[in-house]
Amino acid sequence: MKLLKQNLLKKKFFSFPAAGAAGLVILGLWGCLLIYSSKAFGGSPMHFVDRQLVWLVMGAAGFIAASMVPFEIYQRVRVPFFILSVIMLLCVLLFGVEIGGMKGWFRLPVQNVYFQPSELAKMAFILYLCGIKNEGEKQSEFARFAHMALASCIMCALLLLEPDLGTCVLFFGVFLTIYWVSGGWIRYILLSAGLFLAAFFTFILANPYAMDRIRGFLDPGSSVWRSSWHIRQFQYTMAHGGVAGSETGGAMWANAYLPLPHSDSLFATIVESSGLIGGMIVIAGFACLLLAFGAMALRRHLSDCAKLFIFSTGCLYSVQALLHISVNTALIPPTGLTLPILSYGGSSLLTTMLAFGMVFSASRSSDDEGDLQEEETESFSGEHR
Amino acid sequence: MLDEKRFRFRTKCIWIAGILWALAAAASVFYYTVMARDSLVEESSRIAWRQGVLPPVRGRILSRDGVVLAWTEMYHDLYLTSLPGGLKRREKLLQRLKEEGFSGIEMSDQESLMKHLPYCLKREVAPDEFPAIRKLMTAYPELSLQVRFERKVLDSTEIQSLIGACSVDSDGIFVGISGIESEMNSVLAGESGLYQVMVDRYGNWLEGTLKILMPAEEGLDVTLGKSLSELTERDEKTE
Repeated sequence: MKLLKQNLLKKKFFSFPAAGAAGLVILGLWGCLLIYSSKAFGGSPMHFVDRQLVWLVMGAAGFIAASMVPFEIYQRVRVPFFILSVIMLLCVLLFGVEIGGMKGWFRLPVQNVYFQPSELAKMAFILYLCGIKNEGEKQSEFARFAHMALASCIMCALLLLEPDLGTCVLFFGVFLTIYWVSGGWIRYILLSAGLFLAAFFTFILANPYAMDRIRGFLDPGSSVWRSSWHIRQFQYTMAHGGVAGSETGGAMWANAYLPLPHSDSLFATIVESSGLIGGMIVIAGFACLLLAFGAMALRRHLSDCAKLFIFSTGCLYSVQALLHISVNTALIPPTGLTLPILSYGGSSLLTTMLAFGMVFSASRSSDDEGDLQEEETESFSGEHR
Repeated sequence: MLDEKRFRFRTKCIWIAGILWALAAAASVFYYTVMARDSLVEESSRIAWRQGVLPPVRGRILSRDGVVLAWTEMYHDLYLTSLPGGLKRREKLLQRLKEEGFSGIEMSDQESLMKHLPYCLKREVAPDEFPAIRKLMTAYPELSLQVRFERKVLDSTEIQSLIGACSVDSDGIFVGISGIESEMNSVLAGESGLYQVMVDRYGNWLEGTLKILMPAEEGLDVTLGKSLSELTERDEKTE
């Protein structure tokens, strides 16, 4: 009984799925408010908010369900999960719907519902790469690197065919992160970075829309490039926010001039409505996410795969958020990455919450093993007194 | 097995990189919201805010027995002000216009259409059509409902020649050019007002941003010294 109480006490706050789900739902509701604000001066804002609320409820349920599944099951299904995601990315190129020049969505039989398979592929990709580490003892370092690089090449190539350059860069970043923190060699990291940059610049040169974005970023004052106009609008939108938000409390400039104020340009919309203060809260929030997931991953009783999975997932979503924020603050050229949880997008919201559920599962799985080991040790000590 | 020490070290390196990146983003936000704010807001105001003349409502011309001989009517016309840049969106818009029954425009000949923008899709949109039109305009901001005033005169040759005609100046204000419209122009015309409004990237007015800087003064009605029958009788006698 004493051991049972100790075990219950050891279950820290962040390993309790309902509390985690509640926190994510609160964030999601704030996201709905921001989406409403971004569409309030034109269009029909409730159309977007209603749909986002439905996905939020599904996401919360998915989070709790995913956190209840033992992490060992995820480890066991990582290979079929990865293969399934590759097949889905292939199918979307053949049967998907093109939106905004990118063929990356499936149109579901339900009215006007779209699903983006690259969102689900994020989890499959991370799980697969973390699992490669587990087999590392039997392989040479080069074989391990080659295995991970091959998986990354397949994913990145499929994403570039859509074309979704932003997500491709994100996947490559995740691959480098997992390889490096799992003890990878610097020479292989430099080799893969060099090859990726070569592929990246080839893609830029071969795709006029990408070149336009780079030129617009380098010359934001020009009226020639569409992307330079977009960057200028980011700047104007944030300026209207000031320190504490716009006078009206809404995002009027974002509504009127910013493309996609509810998704790809949401951070600038946040700064317009809630000012520098609101922007800082968002930046600090995602920086804390990285720290929190890192702290979770450093707990001693976790397995290698669980540690890597937790940290990599934290990295993925923090880096995605920082990339989105960097685009909106004109630090990097525009790219179509959303702000996790907050931006409009059903598949993104649902899969992010599923991913966090899997992280909670990973954080608890080896805790139970650790506690079990402690329990066995104590009872052994007790028997021998 | 994961090297615990190396894992911790490399994790911390990524933490530091992430925090530095977050600080750079925060500095950028600070720059735009505080340091460069005034110049950016001023620059954006030149793009977004429009001032315009509020045309006054022109006074009516009445006969002695109260019959309205000349008055102003307001109409709403639906215009296509621009075509979307994206090909798919453009096709969808043109298809939707076709489905809504806007005929008389060559949907397939987009180049020719571009030369005739803004293109009037429908004149005199009826009030009961407004909800459907508004819904269309919400989905396609390239559509615009524009107000048009017309000066009407009683359907009688004698009265029309007596009342005279009006022209419209560049600010949309009626100016009498013959007959009583011209003689009594200073009374009928009223005083123009001034407004300021914010427009979006399509040139559409943003709701809630209209400011009346100076209200327009309506023109005064003019009542003639003779009744309708006397006016028409007088002309018959003259003939």
